Amino acid sequence: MTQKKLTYKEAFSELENILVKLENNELDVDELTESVKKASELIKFCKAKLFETEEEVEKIIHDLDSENNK
Amino acid sequence: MQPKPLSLFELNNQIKGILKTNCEKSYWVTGEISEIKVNHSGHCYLELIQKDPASDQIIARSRATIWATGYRMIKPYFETTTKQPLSTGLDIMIKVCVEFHEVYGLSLNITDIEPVYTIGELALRKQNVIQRLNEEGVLEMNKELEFPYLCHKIAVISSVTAAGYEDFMDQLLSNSSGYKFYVKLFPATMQGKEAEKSIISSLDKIYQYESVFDAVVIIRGGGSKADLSCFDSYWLAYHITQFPLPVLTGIGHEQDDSVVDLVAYNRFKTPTAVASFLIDTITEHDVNLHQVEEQIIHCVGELIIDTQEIFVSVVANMTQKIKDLVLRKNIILQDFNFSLTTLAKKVVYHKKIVLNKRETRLTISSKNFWNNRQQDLQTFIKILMKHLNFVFEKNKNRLERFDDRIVYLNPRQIMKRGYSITRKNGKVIKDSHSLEKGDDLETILYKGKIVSVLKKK
Repeated sequence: MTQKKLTYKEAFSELENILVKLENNELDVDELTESVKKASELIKFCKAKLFETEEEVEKIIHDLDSENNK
Repeated sequence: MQPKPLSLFELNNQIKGILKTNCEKSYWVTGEISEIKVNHSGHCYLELIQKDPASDQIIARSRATIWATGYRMIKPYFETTTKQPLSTGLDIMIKVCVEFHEVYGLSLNITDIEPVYTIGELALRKQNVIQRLNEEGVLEMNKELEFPYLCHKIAVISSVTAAGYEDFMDQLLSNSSGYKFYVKLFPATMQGKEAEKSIISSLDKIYQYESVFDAVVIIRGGGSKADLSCFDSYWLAYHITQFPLPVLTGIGHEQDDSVVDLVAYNRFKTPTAVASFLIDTITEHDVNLHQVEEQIIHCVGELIIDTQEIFVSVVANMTQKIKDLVLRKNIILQDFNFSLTTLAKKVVYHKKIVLNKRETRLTISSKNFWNNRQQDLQTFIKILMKHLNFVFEKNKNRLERFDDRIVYLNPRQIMKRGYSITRKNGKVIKDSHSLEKGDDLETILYKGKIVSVLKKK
């Protein structure tokens, strides 16, 4: 859904940017749809970071285990 | 001549005597424990040293003993006061009797201890470590690191069996919100002489995987009054200050913070407190995320309502304006209509008047014309009649005269006087040239006619 290297921090600050734009009424109705879509993707991404297991990280940690046991 | 030599026993006996007479009954002495062991009968054997502070070289060394009866009192007294076990590396202040045994040599018999001295010495030593780190400008370095925005990949340094580690894991992994943490244990010895080296070695390992982790947590099993002096170690503290990841401690002791606690990014009383802290940081993100989500939803909702309201008001406004416009146009139209009708009526009225006038004029003039013509006609007729009468009269006279003349002119009247008319084939012959011999001729007389054939010409 989003770029591979997106970090939680970047995602969250982008969410805040969208919010600021919304609060300042900087978005017209056409941009609104796009921004809301983007925001919902970012929220999904952030929630996944907080709650869901990333296989990639699990694997790295697991690999550390096997290296240490050698 | 050489004096008679003493036997070793005699010499040792003499030394014993000299010491006994010249030494006081007891002394308060300070020194560092370099070795300590307790044998099966409960006697405690120590080696005490003194180092030159500048060169760190040992400048004095002596054996010492705490007999089992004394040790049973001294040990708990010391440990409850200092919260430290009587162990190597500690500076102690003890009350000793100097004893000399012919077989075992010089030994100090420890009869009392002053734990407050040790506390002071430890504090002083700790102070020196802190001062050194400070002078080197590294004391705050770990604290100055930027705490990771999202801290959930944790490298833990602890002993595998430590209760504190278990508490930490329980707390962290069973967090009620279900946040995801990745924890990797780097085992280390957490007390005693080996601890410093062991913990540093674990730090070095984590350093190799620096990019994998967000933070390092150093935790220690709770409760026991084990030797914590390793956490005041200069080298361990130095390593922590230089570590690229923030270090959190949960060493779990009631005393003042250790140097490690001091240099760590953040220190906590217990391993569970570290876990709570980590959960809290994630909770904060979760709450912020939730708030932003709510706010976005709220804002979008409001924006939609606003837009709808604007739309509705624009439509209402427009409808009103159109109505007004229609109304105005209607009025104008009615005005115009009225004006037009009035004007038309006026025009018609005027035209009617003009027409009437014309009609009247026309009637009058046509009557006149008619009368005039009639008069003209009558005059003409009169004149004509006059003329006619005149012409009649004139012609009557002429005709009468003509009638007289025409009687004389009639061929019969002439023929009566002997004249005849000869015709050839119906044609009157006026010249003899046109006649041929044998032609049939018809001659008309006053009375009757003669048909003849020409005999001679």
